Amino acid sequence: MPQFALWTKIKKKRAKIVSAWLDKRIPVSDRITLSHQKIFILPTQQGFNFVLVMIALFIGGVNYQNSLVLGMTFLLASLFMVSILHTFRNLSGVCFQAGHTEASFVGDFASFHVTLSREGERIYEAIQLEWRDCVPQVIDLIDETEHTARMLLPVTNRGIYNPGRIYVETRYPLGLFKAWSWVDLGVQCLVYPEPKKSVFTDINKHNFNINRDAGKIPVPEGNDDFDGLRKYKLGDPLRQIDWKAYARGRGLHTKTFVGYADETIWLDLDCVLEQGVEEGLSRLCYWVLKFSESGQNFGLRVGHEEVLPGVGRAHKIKCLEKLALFDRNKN
Amino acid sequence: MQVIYQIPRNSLTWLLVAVASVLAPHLSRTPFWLGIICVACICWRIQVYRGVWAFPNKYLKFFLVFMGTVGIYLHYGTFVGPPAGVALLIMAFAYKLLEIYTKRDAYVVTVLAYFVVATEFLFNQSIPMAVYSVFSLLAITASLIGLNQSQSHRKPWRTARLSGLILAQCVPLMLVLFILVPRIGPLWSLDFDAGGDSIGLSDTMSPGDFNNLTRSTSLAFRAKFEGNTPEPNQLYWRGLILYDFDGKTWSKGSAKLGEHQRNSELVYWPGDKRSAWFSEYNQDFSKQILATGDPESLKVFRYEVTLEPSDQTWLFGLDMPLSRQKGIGLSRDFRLLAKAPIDSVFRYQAESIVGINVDLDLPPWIKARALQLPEGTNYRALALAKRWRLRAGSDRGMIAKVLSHFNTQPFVYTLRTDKLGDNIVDDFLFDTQRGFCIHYAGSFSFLMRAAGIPARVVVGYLGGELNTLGDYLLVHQFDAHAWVEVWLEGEGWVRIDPTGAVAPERIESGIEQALAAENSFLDGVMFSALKYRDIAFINNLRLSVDYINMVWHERVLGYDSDLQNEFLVRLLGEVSPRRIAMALFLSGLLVMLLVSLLLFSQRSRKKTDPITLIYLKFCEKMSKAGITRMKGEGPDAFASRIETDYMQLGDSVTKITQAFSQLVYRDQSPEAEGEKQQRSQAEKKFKKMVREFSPHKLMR
Repeated sequence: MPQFALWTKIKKKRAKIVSAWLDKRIPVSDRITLSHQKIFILPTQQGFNFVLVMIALFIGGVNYQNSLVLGMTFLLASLFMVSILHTFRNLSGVCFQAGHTEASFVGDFASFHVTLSREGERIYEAIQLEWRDCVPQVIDLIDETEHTARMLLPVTNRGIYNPGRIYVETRYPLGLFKAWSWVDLGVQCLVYPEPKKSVFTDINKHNFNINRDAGKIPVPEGNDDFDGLRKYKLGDPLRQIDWKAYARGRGLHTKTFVGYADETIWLDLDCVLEQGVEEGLSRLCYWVLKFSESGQNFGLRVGHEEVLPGVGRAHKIKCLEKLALFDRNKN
Repeated sequence: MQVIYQIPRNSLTWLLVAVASVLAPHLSRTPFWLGIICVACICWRIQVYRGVWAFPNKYLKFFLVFMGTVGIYLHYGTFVGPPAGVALLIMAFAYKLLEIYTKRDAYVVTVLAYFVVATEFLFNQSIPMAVYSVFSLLAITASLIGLNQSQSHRKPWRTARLSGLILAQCVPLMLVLFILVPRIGPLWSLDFDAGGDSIGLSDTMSPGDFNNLTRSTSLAFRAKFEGNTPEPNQLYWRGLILYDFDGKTWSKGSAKLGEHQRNSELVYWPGDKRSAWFSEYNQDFSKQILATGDPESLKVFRYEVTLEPSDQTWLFGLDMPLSRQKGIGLSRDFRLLAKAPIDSVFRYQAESIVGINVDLDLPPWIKARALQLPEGTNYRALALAKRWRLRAGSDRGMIAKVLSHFNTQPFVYTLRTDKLGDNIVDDFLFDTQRGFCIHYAGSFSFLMRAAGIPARVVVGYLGGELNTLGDYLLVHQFDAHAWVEVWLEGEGWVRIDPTGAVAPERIESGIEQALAAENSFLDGVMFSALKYRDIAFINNLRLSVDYINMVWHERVLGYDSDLQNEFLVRLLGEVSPRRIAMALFLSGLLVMLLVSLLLFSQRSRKKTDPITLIYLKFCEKMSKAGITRMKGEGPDAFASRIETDYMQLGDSVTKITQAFSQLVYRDQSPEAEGEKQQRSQAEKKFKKMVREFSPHKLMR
């Protein structure tokens, strides 16, 4: 339907204009304090209902010439007006600050931390944060001066994820008005491909580049030969703990193994391409996680880029980043 | 199955309080079963919240609503008009409690609650009701706030305080609107009887009729005079005039001078040009005023009457009254009349000219009515009157004869009368001789008519109690009185009060004095401040309360377009739509600015913790000694500076600073009992150290 297409086009255009206007009005910053030019305020549906009741009362008061009914009408009108100030005040002056973010995998949730804080004795109540598909969070700043909200946003696409503006709204205290703002803290996070399990032999069949030749140079933190014992550190894999020694009451110790530098597995995107690039990246992601967990020495090759074989957390993250940021067009 | 919205506990608590408080005053008026429904709905809602009961299903709901609607129709016979309408509203409101599935439903209930509060004012506008409504409003607003607070908020009193704060901030703007928003007349005509049993004079008079009135302490009306209030014996408030006597009962007669007849021959309405009798009356008036030579010397009373609802059209005025107010008519027998029965407090201005003769030429049809007598009754009185008239020689003489008869014979003024037989005039005059105003007025008129003198009975109030606080008169139901007007050649209608011949105290100082001997005033009335008038404290309190009530009625409830106009002229100098709009806009803006100043002024004065305060005291001592802590200089840096510069102070300053740091930077986690004690000891020690610290002594 061409008309429909036109409509979407207009909608898109409008969204673009609005977003450009917002960028000018509430520029991106990692610390935003809401002031009058950043806050919008309008009556809610309840507010309109309230006005209807007010009008009904006014007509009743006039017709029955009843001063108290009229007085009540005027009180409601004042309540309506005063609630504008209260609702506006409940956003004005709140400071939003970006906290740390955690990378995540497609299909999982990216986690962002947003800190709301207040200054002085002003109290804020029931400020609602809505951010894309995140479950809305309601935040009070009554007894504490700041509150950090952990926002979990479901992610669907690999790469750099920029969730855009947070919609901040409050209807406190009477719900007759809503004050809102769109806050962009400029936060973003990296989204890794979704790990997809595949049988290693399958991958192997498809010409995974594996070098199984036993090397000569031992590399610590491998998993081939028993090397010795050291004191348990938080995060050591459970199956490397020397349980027998623990049972004898000698405390927790971790068995260390050595690997050999030459025994390197190369994970190569080119070998898993027939299911498509994304599928391939997902499979590679799975094995990156798997090998990192077991301490296997491996290297990664995606397109023209390469991560030299290695082990450890830093290596894992480097590989995941490569997978996340792989751009087919560039390579 | 839909997801049911759970109202936050905070909100539900206040919502239930609000609903209960909003419904309570209505239930005294509505049928009793509606009260049961309301209570049941509130209980049911509580059970639903507690998870004990479920919401009613839709068939049950339909059944309940249907039965309720039928019940209301059966009770009121209509759905139209405030009483039935409000009953319906209340029922719907109560049932809606059982239908709160979404947040929107909760809003509907709260906003509706505001409406229900206001409907109560249709029936009761007293000060206690207004004050009570403020509490209802607090609860409703609290529940509205609760709806908008986060689910985790569990401090109902904090919510209530917020509600009070917000409402308090609304008051200034409300006052501005109340005073300045133009009051307009009804958009369409609504006849509505607020109900309530109004007591007062009835339009007939027979022995025993006044018994209820003389025991009633309720207010008939208030009257405020311009200038001095007349003497009590001048305060004959004429209400209605009775012509017809059937041997037992006096009544105003069949239709001839009927209240509801808009016949211009009988009632003159201001602006009415066709009324012939009124123009004659006016001419008479002018002639008489000219005859006195000096119009200024005429005694004119100008007064304003605030009449309590009476359900009657007659208004009260001193003789001979005139009102220029629109909607107030003057009847052919010179009484003030309203167009419709007075069903709510009604104010009117009137003036009375004292000593004017009216009806110098009495139209024959009035004369005939004023001479009417029932046939075949009260033979003895008839015979006596004829005899006396012959002997007296003149009408005046006849009147004097009858009055002296009342005065010299053993007649008693009493509320404890004996039952009279069929010939009430005969029985009273010759047998019992005990009675009060209506007995005397009735028999007097009878005797007058029997002697051929036109006479009519006037019913109204006599006297009133002066409230010196606002300088106005309070006229109570027990001030009800009856007297007589006789028509004399060349004088017109003349007021005669036969009761005065028996009990002059009744006229001079009121009914209480007149009944002092038999102590029957307010006999049978259990509680009334009026009964304790002789106790100064109670009496003053009663009069103060009435004064407040008077001001409330006059200034608040009676604030209509006239009063508003009058007030605004004084306030703005001139009343024009533009001026009012400007005043409204500017004062509204000013008030809102003040509220926002209150809201937005950064209350940054943080509460300083007590330990820091003690430390600051130490710094003050140091600065008095000439050593001032610099801006941004921490306690440790300050201490080490002192130590290097002033060796003598070093020791104690270091100790104080250390104690301070330990107290301030202590572990903030909840402490055990022992730790608490330890800390409070350390605090005391620190306090003592600072108190005893004296830089001057050490530096010497």
